[in-house]
Amino acid sequence: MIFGKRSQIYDAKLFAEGIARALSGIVRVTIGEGSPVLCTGWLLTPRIVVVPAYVLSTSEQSPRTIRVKFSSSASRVEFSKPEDSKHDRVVADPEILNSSLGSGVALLQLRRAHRGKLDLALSPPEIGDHVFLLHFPGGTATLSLSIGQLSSMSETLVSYTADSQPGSGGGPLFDQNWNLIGIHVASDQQNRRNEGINRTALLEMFQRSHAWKEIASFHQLADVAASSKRLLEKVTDDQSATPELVKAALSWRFSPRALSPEARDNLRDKVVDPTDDQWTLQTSVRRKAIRAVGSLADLQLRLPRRRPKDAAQLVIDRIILGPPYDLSNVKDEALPWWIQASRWFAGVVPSLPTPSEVTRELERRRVRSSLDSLAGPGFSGREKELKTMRKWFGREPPVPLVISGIGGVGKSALVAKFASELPLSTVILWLDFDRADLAPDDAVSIIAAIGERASTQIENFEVPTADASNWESAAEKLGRNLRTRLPSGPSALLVLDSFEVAQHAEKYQELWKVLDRTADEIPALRVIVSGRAPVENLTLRGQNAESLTLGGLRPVEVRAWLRERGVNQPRILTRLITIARGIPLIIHMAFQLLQSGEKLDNLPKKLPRQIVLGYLYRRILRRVQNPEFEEVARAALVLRRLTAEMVDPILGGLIKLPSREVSKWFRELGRETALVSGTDVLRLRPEVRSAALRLLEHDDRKLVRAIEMRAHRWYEGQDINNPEIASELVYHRLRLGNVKGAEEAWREGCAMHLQNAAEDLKPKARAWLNARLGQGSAADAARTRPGNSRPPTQFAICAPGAWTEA
Amino acid sequence: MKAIFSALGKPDAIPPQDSSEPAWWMDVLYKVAELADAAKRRLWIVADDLGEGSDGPKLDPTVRRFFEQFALFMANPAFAQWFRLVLIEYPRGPVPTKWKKGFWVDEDTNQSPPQSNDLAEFLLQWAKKKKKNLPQEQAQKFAAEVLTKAQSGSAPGGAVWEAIHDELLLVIKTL
Repeated sequence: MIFGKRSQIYDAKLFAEGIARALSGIVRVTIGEGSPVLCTGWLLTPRIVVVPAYVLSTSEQSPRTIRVKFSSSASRVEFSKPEDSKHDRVVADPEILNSSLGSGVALLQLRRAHRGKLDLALSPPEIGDHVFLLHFPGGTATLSLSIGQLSSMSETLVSYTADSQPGSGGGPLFDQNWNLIGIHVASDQQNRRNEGINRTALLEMFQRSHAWKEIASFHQLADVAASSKRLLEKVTDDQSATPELVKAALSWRFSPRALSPEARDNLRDKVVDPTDDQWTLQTSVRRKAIRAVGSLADLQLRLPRRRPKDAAQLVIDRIILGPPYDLSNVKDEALPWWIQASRWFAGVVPSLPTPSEVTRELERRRVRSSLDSLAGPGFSGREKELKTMRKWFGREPPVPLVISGIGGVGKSALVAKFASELPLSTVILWLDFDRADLAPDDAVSIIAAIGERASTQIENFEVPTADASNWESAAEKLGRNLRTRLPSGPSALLVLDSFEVAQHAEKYQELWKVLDRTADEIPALRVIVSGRAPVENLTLRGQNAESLTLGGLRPVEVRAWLRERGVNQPRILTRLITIARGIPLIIHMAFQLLQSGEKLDNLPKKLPRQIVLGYLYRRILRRVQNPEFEEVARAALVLRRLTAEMVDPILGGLIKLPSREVSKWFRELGRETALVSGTDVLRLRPEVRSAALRLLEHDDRKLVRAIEMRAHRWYEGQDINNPEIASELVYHRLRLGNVKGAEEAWREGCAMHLQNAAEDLKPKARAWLNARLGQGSAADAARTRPGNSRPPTQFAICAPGAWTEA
Repeated sequence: MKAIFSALGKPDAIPPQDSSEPAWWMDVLYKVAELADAAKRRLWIVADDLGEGSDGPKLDPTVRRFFEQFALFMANPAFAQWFRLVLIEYPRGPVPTKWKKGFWVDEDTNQSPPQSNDLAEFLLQWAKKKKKNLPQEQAQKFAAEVLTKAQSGSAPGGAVWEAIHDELLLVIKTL
């Protein structure tokens, strides 16, 4: 049982070590001859003993006759000179130190250095704690221990119940760790308690001592005295315009190695990161230094002669050159540096553009440059789609356009290419739902995003303030403001990109309410929705959306793209076309590999790994919105459909499932619309699965096989009179190469569920299925004959769309 | 980005941009996490000057948008285990709508005036790091003195923190 507020149980060994350490530093002090005054003292440093000041002020004896005796019974310390190790003399006048409330101590300087050190406590004790007093009660030669409890603490004193007698004065008081918390000085008979000077008051007195440096050094004490003194000084910053500081202020960054040691020391605490190889002055210091120089003419004189010629430094150089400053002549890559630099020189250099003006210019330019960047400099092909889009753009009344396709197929690039070809006066409102500040179910974020993009492109455009309570009126006002500033005819394009991210939000349909209110006001506005999943039944302004499903590039387009880049050898062209199957991202990755020196013959070995990393993981699995589902999504690619009941029997133990019960998360998985559709029965999107399954097989064949075996067993236990269930059993048997089993499981109605399954199968199974589906070719028929099987194109992946060459 | 990748010893490992800017940032962030994981190295990333002065933004707004995406990634524990992200002078007002509560905290210096205890804690930590003994009460007393001086010589608001920083910088040299 613990009786007090905290445990008073001590580690016996540590306690013994503590007391042994403490004993070594205690001395009995004798002042005078004949009838001397006796008290207790303790070693503050090897040569300084502390005693209460009152023993000197009350003694009529000469302080020159002070002797100290180290108690042999108490001390385990062996002194260097055994013949006089137990005694020493004081060799200088005691230094008296009084506390602000009167009680004080005296420091006695010894002739020799002694070992024995008392440790000062760094944190205060608590009322009720045990305290330990080491002392020589009654002036006897026996070092004694009294134990008591701390009863109170004041600014300078501690009170406690450890017993004492005359002669105990000066005895050190310890906490339970044997760290010094005070020095015994008095007894309060009336209140039945003993009193000591606490260590805070002691330290304050020590700081005033002539020996403070010695004390601080010996106890490794932070030199608060010196710092306090410094704090009281009025710091005058007379370095604000020193030559090295001005030089640093006019350099975007500089090497500390190029500075003299003195200059380096002076600048060290004025730079952002003194550990960096290149130093950059803190903004406030830089501005102060520039202001201290005072004028453009003086700045020009003090510009360092030797300075780097990088983009950032060139901006400073240009500013120092003086006005006029025409932002339209500033290169795109320099504008971000102007934002910072224009603030540094404001008020000293005349006619500088403000950071706000520079930012506006930068953001305005980025509207168009980001389209070029997204489309890519080598955009080619997609003529058919672009033609469709041009026609769509001119339609009256306008209808929304939904563009869907798997990741990496080039949706954003296509839209960017289209937008970049629109007249420069067209206002482009590009909302990317990958951004942190945009959510389809947060009307305010949509209004703010549209407003921000409009204000970048339209001079003095007023963005209405929206909050959760007024978003309807704000959306309408935004529409009206846009209408008044747009020319007639199609002159604004709103792009909702990465829309599969928006679809993940439970209430993403809220978005249409906002857009309906805004778009209703703007006949000139056209809306494109671009994402990985189709958007069902979309209407805007009462008009149904048009849909454009984007498949892979046609082989002829891939050939053209590669030829433009100097790839002309038919063998290479054929290999790359086969590998990429029309997906631009994979074509780019394959091309980059070749460019990096990879031999064509190595491509089958190298490319799949690159694609697995770059495509399957980066573009497909990482786009799973809830990271908790990444492993489920990866494993689910093996299956064509998934229900909550299938999760544990098929996936349990093979992968890390979300820690919650399946019923708690399964419907949420259904919101990963880039990967699945449905609610109770989730169907893997065939175009995604088709593209990813072979990559997954290549990456983790064992897992794929294990899931297929389990799926097969699971479907065997289901009602296979249901054609959909039967078709899944057929599928997994075929995947496992069991054509005979597939034949047995086949039921009427299976065909409609297996229309696109053949491409996942090995030749023999594929031929059998195609024959069943009535799609078999002569080649397929030949493959079904024993001994005629041919390995599949090992690394082909399939993309949807108009693929005509394999 | 260069600074972050350099801190992980791979200044040239920034993924090329082959998609929209936010999608590219995701690639970048995944790569950073991958490198941190490989090196078993945790990073503190501190981005300053993300707000606006009276005359406009202090930095290219893209920098802030990148860190908004970074902060969004911190909701993923697998990613967040490698990073501590501090966004200084982030504009007051609504935060990006996708920053759900729970993975970030807001410290508004206007709403949380400097406290003597915080300074004392700093001094104690500093002393510990420098292997110096600083009694707790002395740290508190000293902290109070620093605070008083900083408050007496600076304008209200953020300037107090700057003054404290400057005072502390001066005095710990001799502490």
